[in-house]
Amino acid sequence: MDKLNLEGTEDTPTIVLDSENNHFEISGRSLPEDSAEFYQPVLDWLNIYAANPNPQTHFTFKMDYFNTASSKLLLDVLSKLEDLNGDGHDVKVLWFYQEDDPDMEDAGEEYQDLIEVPFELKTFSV
Amino acid sequence: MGYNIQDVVDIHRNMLSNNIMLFYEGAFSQDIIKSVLKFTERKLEYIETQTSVKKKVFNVMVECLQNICKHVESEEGLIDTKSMFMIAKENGDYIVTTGNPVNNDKVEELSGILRKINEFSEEELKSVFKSLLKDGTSKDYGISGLGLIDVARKTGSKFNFDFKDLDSNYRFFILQTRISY
Repeated sequence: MDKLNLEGTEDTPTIVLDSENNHFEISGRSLPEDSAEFYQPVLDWLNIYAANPNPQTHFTFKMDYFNTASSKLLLDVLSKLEDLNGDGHDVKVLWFYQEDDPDMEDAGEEYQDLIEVPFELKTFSV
Repeated sequence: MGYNIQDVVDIHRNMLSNNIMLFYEGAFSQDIIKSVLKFTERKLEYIETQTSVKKKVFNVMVECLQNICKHVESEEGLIDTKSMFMIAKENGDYIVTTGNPVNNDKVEELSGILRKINEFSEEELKSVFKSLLKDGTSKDYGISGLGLIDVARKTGSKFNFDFKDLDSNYRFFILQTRISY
């Protein structure tokens, strides 16, 4: 299927959804004017992917910052991964946060509580 | 009032003595929000060494600025009205203040939400945030609830707020929060 490749800007994240290379990642900053509109292509892509997923889907989140409007849409993305996992597929969320960023660490822990999917919290340094 | 040079010098002195980093007055849009964020981030680069504090200030600013937009968008005829944003530093704390007109009928609801948020403990804020995130928008917290709860959590401080008389239909809603560390 076609890749979804969006380059990050000052208010939108970098998005790579590439089933051919088994690369699934959202990273950077997310505070778009209309978060529902911005994330719709991501949700659409995941709906199509769910019909015929790879044997393994490891999805990376490496966020620098996201606003509350985006937090709802990120939960929608995670819910899609939860569904995929519920259908018996090998799914894992890799949630990266910067070592000195307790807010992104907390956000990861909160999503981990809300979503039933294998979830790993990892640090990264810049 | 005539704007002679002395008036401008006085405004500048006032800004300096009150450590006002930025004061914006006018309409708000996503482009203006991005510019305000960029200006402040640049200033923070010079005066703030801790990355975590810079991020917190950025976070609180985004929610406060987008909150103004939500109020203005929810109300027809408010698009051209004057809103304001200010960020200042006081004894090491950052003070973020926003001001925007709100319809008289919103005043009671809004002050109720803010009073409720101010009474919550850290744990209560966390659980309300999580349930709002999961269940979508809630009548109890209006259009800006999730953002306001996020600000309360990130700052760990109580909101100051007031509604000043504007005209027969609108009041000027002032919201202030303090980022201490």
